[in-house]
Amino acid sequence: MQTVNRWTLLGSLLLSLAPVLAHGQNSGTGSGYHTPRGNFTAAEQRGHGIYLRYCVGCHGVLGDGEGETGPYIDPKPRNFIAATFRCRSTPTGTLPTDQDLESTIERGIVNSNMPSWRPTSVQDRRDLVAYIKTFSPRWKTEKPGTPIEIPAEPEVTAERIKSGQALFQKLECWKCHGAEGRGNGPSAETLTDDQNRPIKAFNFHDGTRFKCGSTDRDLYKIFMTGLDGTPMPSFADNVKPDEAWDLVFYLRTLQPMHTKAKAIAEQLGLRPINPGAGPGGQAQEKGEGESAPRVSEGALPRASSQAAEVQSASTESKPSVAPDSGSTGAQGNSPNPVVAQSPEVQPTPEAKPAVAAGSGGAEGGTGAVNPPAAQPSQAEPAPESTPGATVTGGGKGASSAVNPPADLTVRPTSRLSRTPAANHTAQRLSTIRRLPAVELRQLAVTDKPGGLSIELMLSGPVLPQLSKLDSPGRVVMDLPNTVTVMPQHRIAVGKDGAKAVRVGMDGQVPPTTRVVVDLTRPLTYEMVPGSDNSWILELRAAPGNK
Amino acid sequence: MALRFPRSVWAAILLAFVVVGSLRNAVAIPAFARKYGLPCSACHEAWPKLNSFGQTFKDNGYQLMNDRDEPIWQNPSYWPIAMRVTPHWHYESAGHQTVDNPADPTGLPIDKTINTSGFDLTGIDILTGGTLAKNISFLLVPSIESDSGTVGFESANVRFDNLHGSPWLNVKFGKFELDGPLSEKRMMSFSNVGGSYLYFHFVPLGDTNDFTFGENQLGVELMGHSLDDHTRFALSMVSSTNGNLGLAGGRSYDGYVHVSQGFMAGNLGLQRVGAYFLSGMRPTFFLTSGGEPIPGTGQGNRSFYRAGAYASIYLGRFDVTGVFQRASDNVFLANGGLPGVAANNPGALPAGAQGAMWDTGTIEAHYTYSPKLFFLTRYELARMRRQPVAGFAPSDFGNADVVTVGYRYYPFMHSRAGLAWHQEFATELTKHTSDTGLNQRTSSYFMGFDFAF
Repeated sequence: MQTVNRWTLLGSLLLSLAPVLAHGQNSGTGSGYHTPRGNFTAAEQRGHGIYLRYCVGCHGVLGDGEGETGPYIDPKPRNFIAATFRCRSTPTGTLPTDQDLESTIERGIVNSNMPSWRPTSVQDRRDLVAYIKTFSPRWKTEKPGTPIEIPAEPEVTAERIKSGQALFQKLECWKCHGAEGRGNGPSAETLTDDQNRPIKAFNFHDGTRFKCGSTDRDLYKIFMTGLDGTPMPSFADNVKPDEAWDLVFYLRTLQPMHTKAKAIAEQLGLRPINPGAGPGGQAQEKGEGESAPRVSEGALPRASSQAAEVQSASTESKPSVAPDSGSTGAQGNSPNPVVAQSPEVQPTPEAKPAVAAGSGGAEGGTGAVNPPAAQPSQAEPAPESTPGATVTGGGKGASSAVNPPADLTVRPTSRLSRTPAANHTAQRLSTIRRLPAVELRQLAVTDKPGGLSIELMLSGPVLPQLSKLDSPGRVVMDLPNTVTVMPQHRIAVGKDGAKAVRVGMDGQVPPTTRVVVDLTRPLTYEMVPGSDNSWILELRAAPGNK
Repeated sequence: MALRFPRSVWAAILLAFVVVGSLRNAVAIPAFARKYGLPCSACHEAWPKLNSFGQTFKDNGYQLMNDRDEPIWQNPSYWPIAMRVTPHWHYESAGHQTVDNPADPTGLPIDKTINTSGFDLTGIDILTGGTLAKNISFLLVPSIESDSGTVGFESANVRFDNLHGSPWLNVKFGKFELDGPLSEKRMMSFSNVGGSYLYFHFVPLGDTNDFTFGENQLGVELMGHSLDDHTRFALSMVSSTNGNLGLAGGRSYDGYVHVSQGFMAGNLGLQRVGAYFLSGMRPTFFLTSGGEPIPGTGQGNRSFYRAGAYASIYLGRFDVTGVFQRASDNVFLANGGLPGVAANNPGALPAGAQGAMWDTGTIEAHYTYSPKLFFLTRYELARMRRQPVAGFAPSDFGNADVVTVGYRYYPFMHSRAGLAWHQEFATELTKHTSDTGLNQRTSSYFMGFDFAF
């Protein structure tokens, strides 16, 4: 009897200790790591431990994707400092919701080293998301975007599939994904991600899963939000929800799976599109002024994000590096942009990479020299060349460079100031990495007669690299060795042919900050130096497009 | 009535425990970590113990299931090989051993506690595994014995994963560890006493059934699991050779089934309950030629079974697993150690001979302070429910209790290699098992460096 009592007592003691044990731990289910309490919330502390257990090998202690195995992984691990995420339910350029991030962690990313972490608990994933959000100040200054609305999936019909195919051609999806959706379009080989690394276009014939899910709704979401950090833009402004479903149905016919859409397509005897015919086929036609698809509102997708621009830039500018692309004239049937150089700027070795200028319009730069558009990573700061350097772009033919007007008055309509969170970014990138990076401190958009003026206020001398992208039309300024310390990464403009200005960093060392102006119609542009290390981008309506 | 077995039987049993304790090939495979760039801690609570993510990875056929598992995705220089060995120092103590009297070698033997210690080495495990193609995986573990230098194959199997695209259909073929509640290949204890599970190896004294859960078996396994790996099952059919090559034993097959269900309990972790059952037969005699047994001609098969249930509970860093198992061996197996006992010679059975039945219990608790520091304690017991001979006294003859405590410290945690400092103490008490009927205590102390690369 005495023995029984003793065991009962011991058992009761253990049972009573169990909740205490459980409560006393802050590590979450799968962690085991003690974490600093500091100014972390409880969830962030738990997430920190989980991050150390599972994630740090690839994503790194700093969350910059430079973990122990980062150099060996392709595609590279996500850089959480840049806070650019592919899989979102929110519009392009905005932050994802927590649920988006949790879903990505749970689902993993197919065709990458990111596995599904479904075996971890829901709470673990929530805590992990809380911790991941501490890496970038964006989470302190911006709220996640509002998830897009996804209407109920309609019934798939032959008409819808044919409509989807027409959209596939019209939206020029084939340029990257290929006429048959095999990821082998004319631009496929040149695609790069937001850190300027090669990336493949999705091959619809290879598997049934996408990077951001596997359902029809996931597919719908992918092209209505874009995949930030990749060349895949958002089509939200260009495709109606009903049309988006048509595209979903068509794309499903390309995949190796048995679906109703595929059965209908087989009944229809649906053949691959012919890029040389129909709306999209215009891109294949040769001729001056048609070197790139027309940038016309409603016909082309909205740029996906500041990150996606980086890859788009290199994607579309790379061909101009080809030996035969340095000739004068338009690009012929190349879908790549014409990058014109100002006649005023001599292509000296020092200035060459920095003075690339171009046409913001679709007219092409007649008679312009096509220097290779420098990759951000290739750019070297050239402070000595800043004074007097003028970077211009023109409509029909590169216009003459214009020196900055002496009485230039900047009246910012949107002025952004530096925040503590932004200070944090600067410290991370310049102090932790010990790099004397220049800071992009403010960005002012001013309405001027005949156009817009966008002033970039910098802490030090930087020689921007200017380029123009099409599909959709954008003017891109790369600021080498520059970090952005602005809390806001997107400024809506909505007038004078400009839709928005977006700012992003590439997360590389040294960092490059990219400023992108989304255009709604062709514009000419020029870049002139301002006072105190600032640069001013002047945008004007292209001739014939007012 | 007291059963007296030849001294060689005792020696064999003791040796068996010592050998089993030194043969483990815990499967912690840095080659996987190198392949995927994940730190050891991604798959292991603390290696080699798997966490739920690692268990899912294993159940998926060593695949992360992100379409990057095939060898074609690997750098050609990648070589899926890892090795593991544990140089160590250990102290062994065995009580009430019958030895010849040194003062009078021709006189009666005496009881003595034998103590010994020294530096030693475990066998070297060469761990290779991975995928041959998408959804075709393999595991090959040649093992070099530390004493003889002979090479054996702990594991050698190929697995066809996700047949028809379903995680519920995975077929493994070859030599593999039975899917049990606790893996002896991933034990966190090393010593001669604590380095094997009692419930895997315990059989009554004199029982000749050679089946041991802890040994990898030769056969085929159908395994399935839910996508989240919470629901798992395994069906196996293995040869009755206890994993030995060459078909030297019987010609029957053992059948095994294991089902378990896991469920998340908030922030505490994955809880799991399960049950298993194994039934098989073993020969009691062989055809002979000139009086010598002919290998592979086992006859007079008699049955045995092992049935168990378990629960694994996580409370954050603290986890505890309890396993209860009932085991039974046919009367000819239970008394097979007695001279002449075989199914074709029932007259050799002693009066009152009966099938043996026993229960074992295991409670193993861990505290994972971090993936770099891991504490272990385990208590095991074996209780005879039915002795091989009715009315045998004492009724607790052969009962055993084992306590193991230890810790492991991992100075670093990355994806290329692993090193652990290991200290452990284990002690076992068996009832009335000395030649003079006294209880015997056997203890081990172990410390060493366990490394894999």
